[in-house]
Amino acid sequence: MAIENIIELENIVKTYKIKEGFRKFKPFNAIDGVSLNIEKGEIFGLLGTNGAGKTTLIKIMAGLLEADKGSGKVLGYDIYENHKKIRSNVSLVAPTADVGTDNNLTVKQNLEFWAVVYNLPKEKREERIDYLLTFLGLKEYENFWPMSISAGMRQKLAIARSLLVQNPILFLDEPTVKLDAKGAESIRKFIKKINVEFNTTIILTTHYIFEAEELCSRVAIMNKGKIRSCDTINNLRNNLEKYDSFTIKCETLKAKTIERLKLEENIIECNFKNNELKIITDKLEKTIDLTTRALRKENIQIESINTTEYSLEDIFIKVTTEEEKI
Amino acid sequence: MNFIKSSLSFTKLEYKSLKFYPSSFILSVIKSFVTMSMWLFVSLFLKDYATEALSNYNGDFVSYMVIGVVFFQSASAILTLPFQSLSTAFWDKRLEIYNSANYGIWAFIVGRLIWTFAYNFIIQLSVLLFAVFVVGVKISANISVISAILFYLLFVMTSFGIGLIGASNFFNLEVKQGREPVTWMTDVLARIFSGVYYPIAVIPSSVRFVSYFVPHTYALNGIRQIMMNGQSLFSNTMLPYVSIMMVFSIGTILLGIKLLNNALIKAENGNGIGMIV
Repeated sequence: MAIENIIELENIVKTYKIKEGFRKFKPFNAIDGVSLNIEKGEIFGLLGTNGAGKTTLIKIMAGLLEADKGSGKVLGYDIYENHKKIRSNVSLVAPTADVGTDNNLTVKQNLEFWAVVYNLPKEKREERIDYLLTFLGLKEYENFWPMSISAGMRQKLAIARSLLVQNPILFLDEPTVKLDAKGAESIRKFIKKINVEFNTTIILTTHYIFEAEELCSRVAIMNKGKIRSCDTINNLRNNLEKYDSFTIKCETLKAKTIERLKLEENIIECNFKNNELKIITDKLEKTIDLTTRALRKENIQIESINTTEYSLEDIFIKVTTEEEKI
Repeated sequence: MNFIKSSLSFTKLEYKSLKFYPSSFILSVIKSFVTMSMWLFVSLFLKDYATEALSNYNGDFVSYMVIGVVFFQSASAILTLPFQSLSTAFWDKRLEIYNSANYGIWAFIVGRLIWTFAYNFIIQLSVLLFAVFVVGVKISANISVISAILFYLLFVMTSFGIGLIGASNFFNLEVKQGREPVTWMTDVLARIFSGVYYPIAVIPSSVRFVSYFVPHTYALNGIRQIMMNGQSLFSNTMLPYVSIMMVFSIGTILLGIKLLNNALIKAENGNGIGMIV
């Protein structure tokens, strides 16, 4: 069966003009040559640090921002010609739950307000709102003011708003940011449920690697406006298996030593945190030998050496730092 | 029809907000009464000096002043509305969310226009009725209420049109808060040259020509002709005012829509409409 791409982007470029003073602007490359295909029905993760370009890319895909260069289609609509068509066929939840939520309306009244704004037919409104309130566990809070419910509940309200109209694509921009562990866990559960129940394609951005690992069928790792790697988590892990990693426990380490190690040919990534030097390498034995000799030369006491397994965090660190090294 | 429904839901939102904080309505009413009273006292103090310059209005400076202030206040709220709406929604991080809805930002602006118009109409009407029936400010016994409302609507439309032109600067000039130059300049010129507080005749002749370019001049003259001299909208006296105000209202609204739409497109092509942070 042929895979149906719901989003296709080719070499997208977006540069912002950052105001520096009166009539003075500095260019900032937010997106730099991004190509991406997203399949119908998948949960796709955009992973990256702050300023990586995730939100900008989401805005372009949601028809809220026009790219400077490149080409692309969302739901078959051209991203340059059919902004409005795209906008009315996708749903978006912003990072803070309060965006779009009116504190002068109760939970249910908020949904009633947006149902009119989103042109939901009158005869379907009541039923749909009721269904969503139940589906997202908000039914018992329907007469509460948004200020009096938890941040997690407000985030669910924002998600309920975006689901009023059953659009085929849902963009979730950092859906669990500012939530406590319990609230975040509950939101993740509902993201999976929405994907299964409504067959909605979900594109989410997140800082949290474990979140992407738990939810996403595929992830794109972004850094400095580029997609450094895009694949299933298993494939990303398999690709990394040509590398090995090990940790050396030691008390102190000079920044100069770490910098010197980073320049070594076989060392892909090297960082020192909590008295542990972590190294990713393509030649394990040679690198262990080289590193231990370098540390001993500086009279650094080595407490232990361990080889380690890869996590998505290792992949993330590798792909976001590899280019910097080059 | 769906656009109207969508706009009205934003109007309802403003109403809900008022219900939540009724004190702001009470304070607005008090403020309008205070402003009217202040200018009423000024006009009572100066009425004997202004009689000659107000021959067109039976020399009644007090009525001239009160009517001018009441209608000017009402129009000023409409003038700044589009820019203030964009600015508030932008800083509340709602602008992009509104833009993602079917009718985008327009339903939001029109919804707030309907609310602001109704809100100010009620307040200024009560101020005017108070001035007439309690303070004793004189108005014509033969006022055509329909003429007054229709002419006032032309004034509102013109103010809204200029407001839309100004709102385009939110994106064109990247003025994100405070005041933007178009509505600010209109407000300043109207206060000085349109005869809100004093007859245009007292303005030095060398700069008096400026009043011809300010829509408020025609609007306030027209409304005073209806309220003080009992003119009908279709009378010969009113014909020039009505014609000019129609040109101003249609012209500014069409230009405003065009400029704001272009500014929105420019924003989408540039740094975006708002921020989703």
